[in-house]
Amino acid sequence: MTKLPAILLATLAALWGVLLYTVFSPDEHYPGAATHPEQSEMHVAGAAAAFDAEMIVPGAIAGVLVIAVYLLCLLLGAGKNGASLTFVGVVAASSCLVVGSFLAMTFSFDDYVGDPSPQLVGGFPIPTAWMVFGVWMSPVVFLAVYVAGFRRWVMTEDDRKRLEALIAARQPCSETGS
Amino acid sequence: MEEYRAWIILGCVAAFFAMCIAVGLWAMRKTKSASDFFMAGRDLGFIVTAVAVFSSTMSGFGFVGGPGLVYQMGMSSAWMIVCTGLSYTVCFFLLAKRLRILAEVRESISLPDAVQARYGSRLAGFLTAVAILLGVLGYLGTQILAMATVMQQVLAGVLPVEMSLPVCAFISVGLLVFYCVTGGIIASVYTDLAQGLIMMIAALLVFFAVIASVEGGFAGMSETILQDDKGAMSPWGTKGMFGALSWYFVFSLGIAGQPHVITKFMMSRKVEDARYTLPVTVFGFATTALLWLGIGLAMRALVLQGKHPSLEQADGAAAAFLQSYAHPLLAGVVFAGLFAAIMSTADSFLNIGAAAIVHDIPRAIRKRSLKHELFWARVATVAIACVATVFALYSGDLVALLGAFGWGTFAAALVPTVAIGFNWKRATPTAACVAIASSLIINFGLKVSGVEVPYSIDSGAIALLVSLTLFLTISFLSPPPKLDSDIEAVLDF
Repeated sequence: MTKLPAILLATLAALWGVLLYTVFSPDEHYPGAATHPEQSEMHVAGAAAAFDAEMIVPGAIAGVLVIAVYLLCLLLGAGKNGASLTFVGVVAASSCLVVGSFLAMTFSFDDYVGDPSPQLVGGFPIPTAWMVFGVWMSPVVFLAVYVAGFRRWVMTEDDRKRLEALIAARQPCSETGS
Repeated sequence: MEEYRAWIILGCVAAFFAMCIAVGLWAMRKTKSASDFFMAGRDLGFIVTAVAVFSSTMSGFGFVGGPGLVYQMGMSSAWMIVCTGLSYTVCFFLLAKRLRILAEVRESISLPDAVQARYGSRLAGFLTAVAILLGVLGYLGTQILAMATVMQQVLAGVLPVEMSLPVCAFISVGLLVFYCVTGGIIASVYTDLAQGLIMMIAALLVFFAVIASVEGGFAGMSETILQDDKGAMSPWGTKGMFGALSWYFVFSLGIAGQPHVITKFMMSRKVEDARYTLPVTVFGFATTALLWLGIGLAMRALVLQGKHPSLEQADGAAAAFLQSYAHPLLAGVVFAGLFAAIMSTADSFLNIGAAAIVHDIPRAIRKRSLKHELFWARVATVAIACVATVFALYSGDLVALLGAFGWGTFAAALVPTVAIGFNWKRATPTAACVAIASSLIINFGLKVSGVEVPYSIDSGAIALLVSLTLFLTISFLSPPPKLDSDIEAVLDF
């Protein structure tokens, strides 16, 4: 667990790399969103959607790196209790769901842009359905890990005893003014 | 019933306000010290804490700005809510336990207090308090302005003459200040409880109204929107892939840096409550977020189908939907929910702002807080509310500027300092100070200069990336800090 901050820094460096590559890529010119031709308060993506489809690989890498940052933070937050192989294994398996949903969403976007009559799943186009039912819903497994594994990985019996000892040994703080 | 629509809405809102006043009076009896005023005596149960956490996150921005963003940009802003499942969990892993333990061990009554204790640095505590105060003024100003605007709309239907915005603002603030001053954070969190429940009920009912309003439900909305512009209905919306991902980054990790959210961890009755607080928080937020997506998509589809006139302002999407497609009673509940969303965020800001003025900044400068802290906390609450109101009404674009950069600034300033720093012994005070200072400079600099980041990337995301990188790099390059034994013990949990 002591190496996590170093891995986090390396992940951030990789994120910087992808961003700088994208921004300074000389052959690309991002068209950006435009105002809707009939509705002044609406924007349209127009050609920007096709551009995003061309930039799908750097986008997918950036997204996976962002998710990696969260997962590293999660492991950092779990501290010593999270150093067990079981916990890391559970987090890794759960991460596959989130990353898998994200990648499925990203790569189905390419087909969606080229498809003249896109299919709907659950009321949304396929990539958006992946976002709503995959990227949004899949982290519920982490929530389940937190709730079900609370006594094992978050606040153990040993933690409880240490906390009681710490409170018993504390010095009264005179500076709070309360 | 339709002819009484305006009166029904006013009745619902008035009943909600009466409840807020009653809670304020009840909480006043329970508020006997500064610790009660700022930390609710660290005695909140898990349901109260959970609802307070999610309802302070889902502000007026979520109820008004959210549907407006979906109307304007399609699915782009969905990334602000899609991230919540992961972000709340990461936030709880990072902070729920440690902040609560630190608050108990050091008797901290505010976030800057905790930062000062963690780093043993008064400068770090001072900068945290300043960042919070700047963000509070802007955020609170936008909330007050939103509240006054909604009140003006509610009163317009029943009064023969239109009430001016300043009058509406002073009525709104008067009510807000009343229960915050009398009952402090106890009144805030218990009104948050009622407000959160109203928000959830309102969002669920509106969601069904949304599905019924467009033929074919969500499939009908999707078909209409994608036939007009495929990009709008894609996961990236019109903001584009990198823009949407930058929101994903800053909104998900950023929640661990929102002082009005994470200070609630310090108020819970016991550490173990976090286990049940998290699922209630996530469920509550997800429910209220239905309104954000549902109304925005429905209004975009209805306007494109020609079944509803074009909106003059995207932010009018929620109000337009309620006026045209919701039953008067439902509209009344939702308007009360709208006030609830605004007020639950505003009262949290009043509280942390008052703590910064009477407790944190004096402690950082004079090494001790003010005498008669409870009295001065109440005075500071009134003062902040007055300044924020005047600021909101008469500062032109400045308040919008501060409001817009609030989330990003808190995220960039406090995620490294608090979320990472409270989990990593190697983090140094210098790194914390640089991270906070850089976040303020970058966020203000980009907003004031009007520089557009390429690919619609959010400036807050850039500030967060810079501050995180600086924080980690400086900590690695500095000698390891010497920690007090109790702080070291807290970080060992």
